[in-house]
Amino acid sequence: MRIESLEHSDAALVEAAQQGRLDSFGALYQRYHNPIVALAYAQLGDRHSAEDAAQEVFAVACRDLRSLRDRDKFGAWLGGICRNVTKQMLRVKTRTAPLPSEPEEVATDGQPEQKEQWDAVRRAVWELPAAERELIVMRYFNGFSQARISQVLDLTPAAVNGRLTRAKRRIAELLERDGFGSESWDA
Amino acid sequence: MGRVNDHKWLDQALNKAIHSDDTQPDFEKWKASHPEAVEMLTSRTPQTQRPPVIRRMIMNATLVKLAAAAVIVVAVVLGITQLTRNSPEGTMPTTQTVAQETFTGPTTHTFADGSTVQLAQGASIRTYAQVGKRGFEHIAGQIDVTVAKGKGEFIVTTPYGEVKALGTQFKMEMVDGTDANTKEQVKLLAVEVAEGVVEVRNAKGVQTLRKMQNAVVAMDSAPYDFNQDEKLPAELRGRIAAMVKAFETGDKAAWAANFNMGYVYRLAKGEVQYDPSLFGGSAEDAERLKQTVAQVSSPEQMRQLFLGTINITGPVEVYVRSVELSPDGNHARAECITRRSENHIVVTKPQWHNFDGGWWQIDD
Repeated sequence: MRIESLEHSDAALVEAAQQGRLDSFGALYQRYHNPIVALAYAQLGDRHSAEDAAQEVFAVACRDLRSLRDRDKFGAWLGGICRNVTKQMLRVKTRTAPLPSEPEEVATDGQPEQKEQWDAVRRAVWELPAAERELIVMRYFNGFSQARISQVLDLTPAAVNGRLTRAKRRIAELLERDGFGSESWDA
Repeated sequence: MGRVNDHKWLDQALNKAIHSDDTQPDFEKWKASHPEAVEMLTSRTPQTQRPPVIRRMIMNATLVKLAAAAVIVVAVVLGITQLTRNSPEGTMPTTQTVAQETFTGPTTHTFADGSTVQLAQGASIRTYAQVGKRGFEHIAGQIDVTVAKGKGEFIVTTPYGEVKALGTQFKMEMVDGTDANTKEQVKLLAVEVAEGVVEVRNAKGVQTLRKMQNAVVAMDSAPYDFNQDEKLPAELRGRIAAMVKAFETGDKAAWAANFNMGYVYRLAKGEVQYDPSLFGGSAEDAERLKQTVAQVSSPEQMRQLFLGTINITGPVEVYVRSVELSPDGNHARAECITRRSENHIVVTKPQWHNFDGGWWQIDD
């Protein structure tokens, strides 16, 4: 297998990487790095820690890639590693899914009211059950396609759609409860 | 509250609160910080990919066991016979592997077949694990390769594609950095042939290069050589080549010669109207030009003034990543990676227009 596999399916890239092709593993890294950072962010609530977690996820994947039999499920396999790595990190920090604590990275446009609004949204997201939070963060972190989300979370596209709708409905309810309903965003 | 999907406000709110577009995958950096994981992936011989459960089922069949035993006996007998008959080099299996070696510049490595690779500071390569396979993996930086002739194909693999050579000398450079102005991540491979023929290939396309030709390969793009881009008029290709050469040689006068100084002079003197397709700056820039050169009395004086403002200090590498031609075929815009030093990369978008009887550069 030569470099032509760079644009191929996950299964083809995994097969080439399992035969020692580092460039194929590189293509998988390029393809899945950001979704894995998003998934880790959903667990850890901190972007820098999420970046660190992603580095470790790919290290584990690189070491264990030869054990992967179902090559089409690479994304889901990586997602599983990510959950394990983040759990371990959380255990070390003795905390569970904290609220994101990085106001400097959030677009506030310099308005305190807007910052309050973004904080309310993030609070609502982090109140969701883990599975829904993962979906929401992956969808809005970097605008990943439904297909990519399906691969990493091992869900059908229909399930992704359904759960996204439910999660958004729940967020809207939580925002309304906290006084940040739709009318607060019109301006 | 109505259907969630009816409310764009929630999408916007979630985007604002969660969105992040500053996460950039950097595989080279990851590789450098996880050598042990990379080693595990690349150094071991591939395991059998057959699912164990099926292998067990097959091996449990009595007939298969007997057949396997017979094959082993025959193989052992044949192996002993061959070993006693042949010279050592004749018995080398083609799939045998060896430990890979990594070399980092500045250094020169000579391969068993006599081919050499010269690594610049910061460059890195790794040998293949497969015995008998000619070539190596190019990991980073600038390298000069001289391939021993008449010994079969020689392949250099890179994350951008592979470079196949048959008796030749060529230079490869992997650029990996950020634009000094926009902070855009810039990654590409440049291949330049000094002698012989080289084929640059990836999933998007193939480009064959001969002496003094070069190609640029960006990630997920076909290898590109503007000199072989038949969509571009020959005169335009000449202009682009002249710009690249002027940068490479640090020749300000050669660079300035690509601009239509007569037109710029007429524009500065108000003899022609500002036209954005003929002058790279804005209308305000054109006004400022008029004020700045009010005392200039000839195109030659204008050229001298222009030369004094050019900031080309010493040789600069320029890689032309792409050239787009307008639908009417009279305007072209390129995307170039200009590398002033190892850590100073700038993406430029020079433009050319066909007017006054020829192709002229109008913006740098």
